[in-house]
Formats: sequence, C-alpha cells, structure tokens
Amino acid sequence: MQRYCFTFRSITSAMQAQTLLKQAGIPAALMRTPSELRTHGCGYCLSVGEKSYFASESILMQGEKRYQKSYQRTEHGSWQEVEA
Amino acid sequence: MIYFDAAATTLQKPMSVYPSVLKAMQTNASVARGGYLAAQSAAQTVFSCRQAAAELFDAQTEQVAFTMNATHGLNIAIGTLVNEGDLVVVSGFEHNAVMRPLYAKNAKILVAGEHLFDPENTLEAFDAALKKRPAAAICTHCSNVFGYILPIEKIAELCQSYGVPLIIDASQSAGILPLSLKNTRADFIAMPGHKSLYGPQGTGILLCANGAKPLLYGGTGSNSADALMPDFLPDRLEAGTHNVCGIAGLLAGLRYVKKRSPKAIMEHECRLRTLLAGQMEHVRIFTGNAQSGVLSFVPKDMDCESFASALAQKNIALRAGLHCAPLAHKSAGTFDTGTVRVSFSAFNTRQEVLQFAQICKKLLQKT
Repeated sequence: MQRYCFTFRSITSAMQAQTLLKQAGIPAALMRTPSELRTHGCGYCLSVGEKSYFASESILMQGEKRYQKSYQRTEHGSWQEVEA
Repeated sequence: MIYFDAAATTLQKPMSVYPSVLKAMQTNASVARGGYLAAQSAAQTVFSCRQAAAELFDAQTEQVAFTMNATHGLNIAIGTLVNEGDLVVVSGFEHNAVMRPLYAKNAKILVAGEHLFDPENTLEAFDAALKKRPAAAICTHCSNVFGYILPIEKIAELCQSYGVPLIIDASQSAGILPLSLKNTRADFIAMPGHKSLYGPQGTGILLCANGAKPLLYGGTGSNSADALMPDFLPDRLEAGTHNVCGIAGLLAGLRYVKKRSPKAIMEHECRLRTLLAGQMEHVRIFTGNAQSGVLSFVPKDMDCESFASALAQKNIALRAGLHCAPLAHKSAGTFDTGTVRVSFSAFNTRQEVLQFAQICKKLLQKT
C-alpha cells in the first residue's frame, strides 16, 4: 500500500497533528523524518495510508497549516513531494 | 511530622506521582533524540503533560514550555521583555525571583500597591503606574508571604488598555486559582511544578503567548542543521535534555489537580487557614479578604526564627524569615521581624491544625 508522510518542524507539532488525526479516526505513525526529506537536520513526520491521505491533509490544513510538506512514497521506495 | 510549608514545596504528593516518576526512569529515554520505543515513550510523556497544562491554563499546547521552576520561567520572561534600564511596574508583593533579575538589569522599578489585602488600592496603584508606559508590568497572582490574592484579571485588563506587556507570577496560585493565558492575554505566566501542581522539584511551566528570548542555547532535536535556536515554541525555550522523570510526575500531579479541582483544593486550604487564624493566641496575625491558604503571623514575645526552630523540635515544618520576598515585608511593615508562615496543601487536615495551635499556645505561654 502506498504511504504518505507529512513533515513537521518539531516533535510537538507532529504529536499535535497525530492527536488531531486520531480524534478523526485516522491512524498515523510518528517516525523520524527520512534522511532524504530533511532540510534543517533532525525532524519528525507522520505516516498515513493512501486511503487516509486526503482526509488527513484536509484536517491538517484547517486553520493554521500544521505541517511543512507532504510526500508520497513511490514504487521504487523514494519519496516524491505532493504539491499542495 | 506536620508539614505546613507547601508554599515552599508540597512534600506530600498524590500517590500516583511516585510510580509515574519511577516508570519514567525505567522506560523513558529522551525526547526528540531518537525513533525507538523508549524515545517515543518519553515524547508521549512530555506531550501529554503539555496537553494537560494547556487544558488547565487555557493555552495552546505549543505555548507550554517546561522549565526547572518558576524562577527559571520568570528569568526567561523578564529577559524577553525588559532591557537594561527599562521602567518596569511591579506589585508591592513580588518575590526575589522577579526583583533580582530586574536589579541585574538596572531596571527602574515602580512599585504599585503596597496595601495588604486591598485589591482596590492595588488596582488604583497599577492604573496610575501604567500611565507611565513601562516596558512591562510584573505581578504576582498571590503573595507567597501573606497569601494576598491580587486582582490579576483586572490588572491584566489595565495592561491591555495601556498596551503594556504583562508577566504573571503564578507560583502560589497555579493549581488553586483559575488562570487563563487566553483570557488574561498575559505575555507570560510562570509557575513551579512542585507546589500546588504536586509535581517533583525541578519542574516548572512557562506559558508563552507569543515568542520569547532563549535563556539557554543548545540542542533541541529540531532544526539541528541551523546554527540558531528554533524560532518556534516550545523548542526555542527547551535546549538540552528534558527532566522527563520530573515531567512524568508533574503530569500525574496535574491529573490529580484536575480530578480534585482547583476550587475544591482552595476551599479546603482556606477552611484550614480560617480555622487556624481563630485558634492562634499571643501572635499578630495577617489575614483579610482575598487570601489563599497561606497565613503569616508574628509571635508577640519571641522572634520568628526561634519560634520556627522550637516548632521544628516538635516535628512541625514551616518557614520563618523574609521568605525571599523582602519587598512584601516592606509593604506590610514586617521587614524587621520577618514572619512565621503556615502554608497548607490538599493533604493537610483539621486535626493537624488543632494540634499545631495547641503546641504554639504552650510554647508562647512559656515566654
């Protein structure tokens, strides 16, 4: 199953987003941002399944933008940025 | 032991605090430093505590920064808002945690309101002082010496109307009085975790409405490639490894306070204070309207330190002297004598109060 991930500036904002998604019934795994996606060093991201991506994006975009960027995992295992 | 020094730190904690600390020591590593289970556990502990504090104090989660104690938080707040030589308005009951950072910055200090248990006077004094457009106003919510509850919501409104940033010292009020970062629109609210929030020593919370200037610079587990501290909260104020075990204990304390309710705890402490005030003889008592569970008195024929020592011999724990708040004593006229201070927690009992009053009576009758 393709997976998507949302990157965050801090673990606190990642965990806040995870809480929001959980309240909406969307499981999201907290993990270290993959090396190829890091821009400023250490970071955390939330990984969601393909079916949950658009709902997750909608929730996380409500009000103040809560994530930095979102990415889709390709067949080859690399990450491709999803344009907003 | 009868422990009546909650204003210094609550010695008796809710039973849930002890296993929380132990479990964290055994299973929680460090926050934002790894992706393994023990790191995730630590992150969850710290995040849950942030959420609990945000809920209790009507703040956003990111606005909750963990500190070592209230003094640490006040130093951050003052360092952010006050520059060298700035004019600052303070109440007449501030602790050295406020005054010493101001002295270090050679601040011009305008003291507003020196009448004990007189909210009207305090408000009038702040109104007059804020007209001078200080760089900041700093106000304790509740005096650590006398338990005087200052009219902080109205002071906050005045600060808003004059456009003066406000720092609230909630050391003696967090956990027993309602306090909202959102409603007061204070720039900062500083509090210890180890008093009426029933966490361990070494914990504190600083609520930050907007940005803040870091006091410590170092690793945050975020933006590590950048030379500068992160420009977002709470990371900006949390360099170094968190006191995860302490925060685990603080989380248990916050849950206890929520369950019991600050209002119920405050009412309990005030009942004990009222009972004690009615029982004491041969002392000058400081009591009035707008008072918490803190009670100060001056023995009529014995100095305060000697009296406290005599009580310690009877296994009664309380504090005497200036309580790190010489300004409060100058305002109340007790700078030369100091006071003996009794301060209650949720765990003190009526029986302890009556026993204490009897012991005091016997000690003072001998003099």
